[in-house]
Amino acid sequence: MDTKKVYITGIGALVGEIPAENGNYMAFDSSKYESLLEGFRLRGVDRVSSISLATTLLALKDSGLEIKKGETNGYGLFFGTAYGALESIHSFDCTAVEKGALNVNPGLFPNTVLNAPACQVEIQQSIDGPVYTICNGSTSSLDAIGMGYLHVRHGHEPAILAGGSDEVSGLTFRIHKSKFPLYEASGFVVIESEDLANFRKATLKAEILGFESIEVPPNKSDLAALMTAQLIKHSIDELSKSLSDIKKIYFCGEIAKDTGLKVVNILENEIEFEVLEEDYMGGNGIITVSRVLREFNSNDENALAAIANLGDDRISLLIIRKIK
Amino acid sequence: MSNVVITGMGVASTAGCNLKDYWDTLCSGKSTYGIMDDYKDNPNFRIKVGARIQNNDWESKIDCEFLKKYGRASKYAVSTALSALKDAGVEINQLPEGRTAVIIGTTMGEIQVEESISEMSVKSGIQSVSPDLLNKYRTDRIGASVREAIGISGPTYNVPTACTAGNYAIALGKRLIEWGKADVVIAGGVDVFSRVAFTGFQRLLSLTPDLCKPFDKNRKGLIVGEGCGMFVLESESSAKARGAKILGEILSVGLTSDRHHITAPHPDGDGAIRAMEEALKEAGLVPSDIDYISAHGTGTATNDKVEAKALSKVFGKDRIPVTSSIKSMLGHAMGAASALELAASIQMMENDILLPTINYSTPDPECEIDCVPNEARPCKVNCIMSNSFAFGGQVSSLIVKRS
Repeated sequence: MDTKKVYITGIGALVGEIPAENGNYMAFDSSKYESLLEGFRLRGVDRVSSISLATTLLALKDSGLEIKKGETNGYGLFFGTAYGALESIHSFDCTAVEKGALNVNPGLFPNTVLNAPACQVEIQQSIDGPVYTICNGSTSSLDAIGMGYLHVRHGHEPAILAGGSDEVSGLTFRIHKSKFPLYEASGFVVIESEDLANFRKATLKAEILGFESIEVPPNKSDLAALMTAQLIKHSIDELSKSLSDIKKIYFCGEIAKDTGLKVVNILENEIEFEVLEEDYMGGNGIITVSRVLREFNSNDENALAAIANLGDDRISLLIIRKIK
Repeated sequence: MSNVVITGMGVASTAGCNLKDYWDTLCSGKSTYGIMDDYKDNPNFRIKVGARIQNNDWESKIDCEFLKKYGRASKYAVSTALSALKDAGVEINQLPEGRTAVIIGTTMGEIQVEESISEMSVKSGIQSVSPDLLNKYRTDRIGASVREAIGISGPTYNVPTACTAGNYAIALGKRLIEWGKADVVIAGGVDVFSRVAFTGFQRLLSLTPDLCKPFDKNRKGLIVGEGCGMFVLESESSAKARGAKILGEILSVGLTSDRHHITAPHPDGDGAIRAMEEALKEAGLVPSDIDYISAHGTGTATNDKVEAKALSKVFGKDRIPVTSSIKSMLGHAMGAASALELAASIQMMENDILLPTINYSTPDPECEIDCVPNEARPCKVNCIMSNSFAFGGQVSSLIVKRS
């Protein structure tokens, strides 16, 4: 199968900036996104969907990729989320339990399916290709980016919006086990094939070179560091590159702190690494990508950055080359 | 590029929790839903009919000890995944380490866990909910349960894509094999009966009070159901190398979006038409190559009309292949529906019998299709198309041929 070069041409991301009332997490600042949504009909659309729409708008604006309503482009959307619209689901159900099933607002029912935020973005942005929601815990948005990359690389879609969102609700907070300060997060990248990006003379921000993901069953969880190192080595070998081409590894996710150093020691290379000590839930991946695009610099144009998202039972790895 | 084939399948459904019972029930044209005792006298529910698995045979296939930390959707998924592996003739210790993928589609995930949480929250406050129960909720627990059951590492994706989830999961499984990212894929769709869905659809006036009548002029709506369908996918070369029985070859998938409305399909069937055309194009087929279509066929006024319109556009008004909807018998198993429909379609190819659309009595001029009314029909079937359309306008079309 012919494969294509794949580029990131735009990114839009928002993280929590305002301490929540209970001080347990950082919440989105609504002033950062509400103005972006002017002109959209969002009656009945819930918060996580609205914020996702805002960050996809930012990403598309950054990339210059235009999606005209009604036109068929074959562009897709890959939406990663650990909790999705849990707040909407729980709120709807509590109303039904407390006041009776006949007293729920039918207009809110569509928000209770797990893919609702992705579909709201699809409808508002007129996306006509595949729309995947990926619920993979803390690696959700990186897995969405990885799947988007693979679909574009193999010629299935010319462009994909990929990333994800997670908000914090009362129930989310009780379910989520956070080892780091907790932030709400939303972000998307525009991923394009080389053909499309060249055709519209897009500014290339980074090239995605590889993606791997593996879930580790509980009986093998103590092997996470070894498996991560093996995954990195395997990815580098597949690219016909060497470990010394990786200038920095960014670790994020639940077990990043404990495992990151072990991984680098196993690789036996002097690779700079950083452990991101914030918890963006399913948004860990996209926020780390955003950080890489902002901060990673090297004089070597072939220098690679690796993003290793280490969940409790899952390892996802994205390899990118930043383009100056 | 490897051809991707199906070598095993497992089902848990209101029609049975093994393939033989499943086929026999559907072939007999039996309806598998009815009045639910716990809703019968509840004044908050005007609709009392749903489809819930009564037979607990599926539980006997699983070791319940480790499953105590998972919800019911996970248990369905584990039971049917293990059945599918058994059907494929694959022992767990034969699965390739690091290259066995698990892909689970669903609409509502572990919604019964959330419903228990809601009941406790309303009664005694959220703080009364135990950590054990909270830990069961997150959707990725479903994929994790199957992963733990097989004990083999590999890529795992939980892809909630509403009523088209099974097809989306199978489509991703096909791609992972084609891309060389997995050698074996366990993929399918699962949903448990959801009070949230039952409540919501009731308020949207989408439920029928009695029978599901796809394509019938007097159809009144859908039946909320549950179930699970799982498949073992592998490359054709790998299947042949181990002498596996091949149930069918997945020729193609077409995945599109209507970009129209969160609950209503595009009135012209835009997404459905493109999905079917994409699937035909990827398979290298023309419309006349399709022998049978497994319809989405929910029995709602809008869906069936739009679906018939889309079929007419793709195939030609007088050349629509025979099309039936087994939702007439199963109800709508939500994220499991497309997986259960694929399983039934493969069984149709195995047996050369078309399953019926039951409860059909009055033709609808807006749904002019041969829906195999009421009785199963002998017919050679070599190539099937399985369509599913979901909330939010997500659409899928899968083409499978007899191998």
